[in-house]
Amino acid sequence: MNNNNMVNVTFTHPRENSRTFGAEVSLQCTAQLAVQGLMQGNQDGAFLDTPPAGRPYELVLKRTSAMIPPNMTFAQAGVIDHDVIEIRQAGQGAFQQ
Amino acid sequence: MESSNQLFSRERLTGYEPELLAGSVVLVTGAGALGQNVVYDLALAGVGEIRIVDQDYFEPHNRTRSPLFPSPEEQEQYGSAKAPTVARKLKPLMTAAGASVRHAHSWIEALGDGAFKNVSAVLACVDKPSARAYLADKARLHGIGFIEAGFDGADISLSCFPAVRGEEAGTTPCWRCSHQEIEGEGTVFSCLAYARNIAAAGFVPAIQNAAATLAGLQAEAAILSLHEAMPLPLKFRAMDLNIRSGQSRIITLLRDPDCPGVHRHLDTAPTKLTASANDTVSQLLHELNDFFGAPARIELNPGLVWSAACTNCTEIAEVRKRVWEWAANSRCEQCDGPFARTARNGAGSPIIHYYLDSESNEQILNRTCAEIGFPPLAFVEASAENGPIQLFEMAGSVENLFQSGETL
Repeated sequence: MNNNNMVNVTFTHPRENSRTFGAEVSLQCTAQLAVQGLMQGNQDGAFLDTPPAGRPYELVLKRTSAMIPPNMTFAQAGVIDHDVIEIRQAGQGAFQQ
Repeated sequence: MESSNQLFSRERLTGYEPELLAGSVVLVTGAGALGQNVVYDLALAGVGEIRIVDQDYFEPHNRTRSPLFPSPEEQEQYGSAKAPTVARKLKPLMTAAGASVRHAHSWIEALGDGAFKNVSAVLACVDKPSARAYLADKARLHGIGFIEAGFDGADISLSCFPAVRGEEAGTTPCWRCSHQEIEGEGTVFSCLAYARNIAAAGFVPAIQNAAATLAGLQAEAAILSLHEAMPLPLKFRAMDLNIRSGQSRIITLLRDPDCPGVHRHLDTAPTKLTASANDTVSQLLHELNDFFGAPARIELNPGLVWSAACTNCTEIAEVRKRVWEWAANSRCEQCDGPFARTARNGAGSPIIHYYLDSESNEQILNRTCAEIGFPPLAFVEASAENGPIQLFEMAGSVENLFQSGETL
């Protein structure tokens, strides 16, 4: 950890379990901002595709199995250095095609 | 005849109270794969009244995940609308004494608050995110438990929000706390466009085994939520399960500090109006003027789209519907939508009304309340002279909103 306000975390991909994305993030970062950052990615490209309408990405703190709502900061969620954050996409309802 | 004690002997052993279930009303929105499986479970378990809402029709390909799919003869005789078909086929399966099933071939939003009257649990079996958001908001406002479920092929998920009242309504998470891409009032997506988007993104539509498994979980959560004495282990939690691998996880849901959803419970009953859905808006305003002793103003939330540009050709269409209904298919008749163009092509501009008073457009004032989105038992927010907004309830009954399964 570089300073008190930054943490190193690992994000896991919602559909490909083996894919991870390590990042140093501010504890003031919200889940929503983190997802936006993951959609932008880094020099290797985007970690997440833009989700279809109605299937937003959700973040789950693996250590506590608690969801981090979009406007909650990592500090409020209790994220600490080296935490793993799972990215989830909940299923759809009676979707039939 | 079998006594109730014998009939429900196994259910009693699991902790069910058949008398309590027989007195319960469960609102199931969506009569597709998930909805049919869940009403089947609730009917057999002894729920006393099931309300089914769906505006869709059966299509041949639905058959592989539709336990209540109508036969060709039934379709010939009764049509293929999902809600009445499912209600008709469900009625003989209901085990509670005096059980009833009601149905509405409608969008849930079109039924207004009356759909939630006396309801004990709300189950979301819909695909539209905006309908889920609507249900989550209404369940919280009316202090009703809300059980939401969804699936993606063999992956299923369930989230449970028990009935909360008072302060707890503000502090506990709702479904919208984690689903916030639904922006604006009543934003909806066309079902077909939505299905295409989802499919294009690689998600797998419903299959019967997933629907049946998920329905069992959803029905059990609903039944537990009806028994206040029984613990609801998934209270404010979500569950993910893969029905092939058995892999699962439980997620604790948290309140989003800036959730746009409804986080309050209606702790006082609205004032009952004598105005009915068939009365004109002008008559409704008169009654409200009399109540306040001053000119009243009716809030429209969501707004009333009087005219708007067709999203395909951009010509102005005469909409005359609430925002959610316009957004469901925002095209003019010439572009295969439901809304007529204005008389003079290229003329006019989009108009959305967010409130009504005696100075409003006379055409609106002369319309019936139902025509502008106040069905029987609808809640009406009104105020006078910049005073606080008060809540009123249109006259009517649940029978005005739903048809009975027996009257098909």
